[in-house]
Amino acid sequence: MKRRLGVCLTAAAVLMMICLAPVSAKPQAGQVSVPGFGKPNAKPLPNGGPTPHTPDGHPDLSGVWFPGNTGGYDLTAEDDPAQKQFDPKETPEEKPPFQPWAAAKLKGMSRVDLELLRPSVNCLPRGVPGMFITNPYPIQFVQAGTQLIQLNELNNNFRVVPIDGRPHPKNPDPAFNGDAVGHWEGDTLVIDVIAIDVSTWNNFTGWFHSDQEHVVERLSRPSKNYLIYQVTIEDPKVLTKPWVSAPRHWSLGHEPLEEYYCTNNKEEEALKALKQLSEGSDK
Amino acid sequence: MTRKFSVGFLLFLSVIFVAASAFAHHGFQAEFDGSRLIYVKGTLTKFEWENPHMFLYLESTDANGKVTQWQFEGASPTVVKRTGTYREDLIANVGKIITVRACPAKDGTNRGAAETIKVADGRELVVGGKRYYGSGKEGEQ
Repeated sequence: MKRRLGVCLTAAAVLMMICLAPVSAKPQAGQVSVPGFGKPNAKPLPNGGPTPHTPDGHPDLSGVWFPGNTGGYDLTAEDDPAQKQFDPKETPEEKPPFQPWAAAKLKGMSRVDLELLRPSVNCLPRGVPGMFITNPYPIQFVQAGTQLIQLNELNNNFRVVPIDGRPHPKNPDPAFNGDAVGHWEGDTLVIDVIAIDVSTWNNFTGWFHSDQEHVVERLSRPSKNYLIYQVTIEDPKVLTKPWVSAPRHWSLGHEPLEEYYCTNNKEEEALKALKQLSEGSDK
Repeated sequence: MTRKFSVGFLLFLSVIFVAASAFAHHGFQAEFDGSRLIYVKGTLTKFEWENPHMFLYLESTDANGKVTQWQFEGASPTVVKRTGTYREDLIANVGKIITVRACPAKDGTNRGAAETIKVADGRELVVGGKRYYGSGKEGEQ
């Protein structure tokens, strides 16, 4: 009896040591531990040749574009530098220069409250510049003369930007994608955007903005396979000074956009349940 | 320690393995605990191949016959497909035993954010992004 109990205890101890040990190979920060999964297989595209042009002589931005340098998206390579839009060591990006009240507002929010304000919780459009900065899904440009048509796979969203140099209309209505007008400066398409709906965020971590936000996007295509997106954000009510992004890389894909309708969203429900749980535990 | 406790403990461990670590960082971690990793083995009862996230539903049964229903959240089907896992792969495994690798929900419910599933033919299929951000320090709780 005692011997059997001893065997059981030893087996339990061994199993406990196995179970508390990391699975398979020892995981390192940012790496998935299962051999073969998380192994980066993302390769940057070559430049692919010269920039294509439209008959009027401007660079042609048309194409399906993926964020990052690989011309695609692989879940196992999410942390691979090749799949990132920019390398912060080479082209560092400043943190948003919030005014003290804005910084305090963000700091005072719980993580769950912040998550509940995230536009994606309700499948709202990412807006501008969110459709580039917080969008891991491909976009498609169709450059048609005096219009740039942008199709976003995420939420089956689109915008049509006139690129003939016209000004903004007077007092445009707020819209998720704002009111956007474009013109060429050499080989760079400059898109000026105002009247962006205040429920959009400029990054993943809560950068909210006011109705006075003014966004200037710069798009260029230095070679066939690459699109560069750079954005300047001014917001006199939220920021202390204008913020300029790093030049962000998008790369040419060769597959069509997929349909993406947000028909099965459970995030808000789950987060609200979490909030109730945490509020209940505080009582 | 009684025999019943030892046997019960061994049976519990045969269903779920847990790797614990102190370090965690990720936006999704309002809902899921990226410092912990679980493997759950059970029958795939159904799946939802929709946006913004695909979902897998699992039924696990322990040695005492207790049945637990699990829900696992994956990534958008558009990116899951681009990573090489297809709707047909899931159809082929409904009703079969699979093992899900996931980070568990923080609220203690039987839910998780899934990274991969090991299916009946032995393949490990990616169904979500990297969720586990353990520090790799052995034994750290």
